[in-house]
Amino acid sequence: MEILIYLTQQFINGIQLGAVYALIALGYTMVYGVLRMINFAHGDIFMLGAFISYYGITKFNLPFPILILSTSLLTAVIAILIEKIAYKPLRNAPKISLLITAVGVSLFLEYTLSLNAFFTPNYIGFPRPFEIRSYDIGMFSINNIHLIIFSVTIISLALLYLLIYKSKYGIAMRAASHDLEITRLMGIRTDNIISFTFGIGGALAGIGGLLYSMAYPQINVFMGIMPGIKSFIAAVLGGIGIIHGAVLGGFIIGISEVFVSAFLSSTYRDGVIFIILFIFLLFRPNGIFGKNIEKV
Amino acid sequence: MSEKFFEVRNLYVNYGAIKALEDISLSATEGEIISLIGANGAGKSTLLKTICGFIKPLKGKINFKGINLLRLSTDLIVKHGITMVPEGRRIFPNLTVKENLDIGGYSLKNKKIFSELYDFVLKLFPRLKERIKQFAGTLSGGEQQMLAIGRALMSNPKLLLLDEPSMGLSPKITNEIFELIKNINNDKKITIILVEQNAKLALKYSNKAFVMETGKIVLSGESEQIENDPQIIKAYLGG
Repeated sequence: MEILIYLTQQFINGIQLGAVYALIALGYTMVYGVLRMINFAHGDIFMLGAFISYYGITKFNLPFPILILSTSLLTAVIAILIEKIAYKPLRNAPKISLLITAVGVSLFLEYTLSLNAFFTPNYIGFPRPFEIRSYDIGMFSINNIHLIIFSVTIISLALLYLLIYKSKYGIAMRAASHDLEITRLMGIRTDNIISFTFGIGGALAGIGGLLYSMAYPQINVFMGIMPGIKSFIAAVLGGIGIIHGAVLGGFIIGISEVFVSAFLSSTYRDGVIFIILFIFLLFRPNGIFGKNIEKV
Repeated sequence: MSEKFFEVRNLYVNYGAIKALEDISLSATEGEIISLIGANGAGKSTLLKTICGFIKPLKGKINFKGINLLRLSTDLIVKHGITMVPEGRRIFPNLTVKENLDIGGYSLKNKKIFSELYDFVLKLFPRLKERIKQFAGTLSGGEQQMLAIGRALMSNPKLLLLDEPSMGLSPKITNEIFELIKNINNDKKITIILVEQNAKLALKYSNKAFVMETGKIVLSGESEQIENDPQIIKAYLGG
């Protein structure tokens, strides 16, 4: 019986972490959809989300809904700017140039912000906007941070769904992810659709940064690296370019990570994620929902 | 005479070092159907892609109702009233039939024109109406071609470029599609430039024809005249 309670408890923690990975993975997968590129600077947008929230709380004392909105708005704008400045000039360049540029953007953001004039390379404690309150439900407990992370994630995913499947921009985005050239032939400025995609991905990663920092309240300019890589793995697991695949992949990675930490050792948690990736690449390289792989 | 409705003048296009189009000139008056015929690799599709801005030419001019198209990007060319039904249809299989039509009319600001066109397309292709909620990828080849044409019509074009509408279709469906193309031309007074491998069919349905060989126009004239040209009969019509 006790093991069952422990399992459920860990499962809740896993879903919490998975929700954050899902939010980040969506950005990878959507950008891959329209540009066929892996935006390696995406993890740093997540980090910026955490830092923007940090200032939103410490300097401006923003109420939580405003904090989420302003963080996601700013990270959206930053993601769009990165695309305009660094990636757009390479639209007709080989894909490998884009990939290298993305790595460059990532390093630029991390190391510039680690300067003492900015955020410094040190860990900073993240002040939670709420006091933790635990609720006992039957034999296990859940706290308000869990509940906030779940509800913010569900609301974000619902809004994303409406945007992608019900709005004019969403239709254009799905069209662009299938055929960019023909999308232009529909009278659509595809540059706007690409900006829109980066903006949505940036907003979701920013929200992810805020939620993650509430659960693990220590922030640092390099904090985006591992969650970034793991969310990328989540996107690959679900089938890169496939939106619901990224969400499922995020939860699989989050839950696996928490279970490995709980039942094996937290030393192995990153390694196991890579082993999962390795197994998938061997036996199902297109991911869970992927059909035919496209060679880049 | 005032300005020509549509005109290509002395157009040169290169793919790297390969000359794809050389000194192409042609023109169309409003309401005509023009066909481009010739073997594979003659440059017919390249010409259409250049007109709608996918390929930038080396030199030459393309004018549409007095507007220089070479300055414009594809999305603006479409807004000026030119669109293409691409080779291989290239509908969006991950979108429903309705969404494919919606996105075809994406740039239309006027809701009334949009719904008129929508009704027109569904009347023209009743089979699309039956499948309106289906994903376009589940349609048959002929239905996909209808959708590709319908999607193009949704942008309210004045000039429609059709690239190999018969590709991969049975003769019966092909005839059906060509009759519909004729109707579109009649009802909406849309000028059509048609690229077609099946020269016989293309000549039957067009007013004027241009015969292309290795990037050049080697013969042009009234379609009837070309249909009876002994050389053309020998080369393209299997006489």
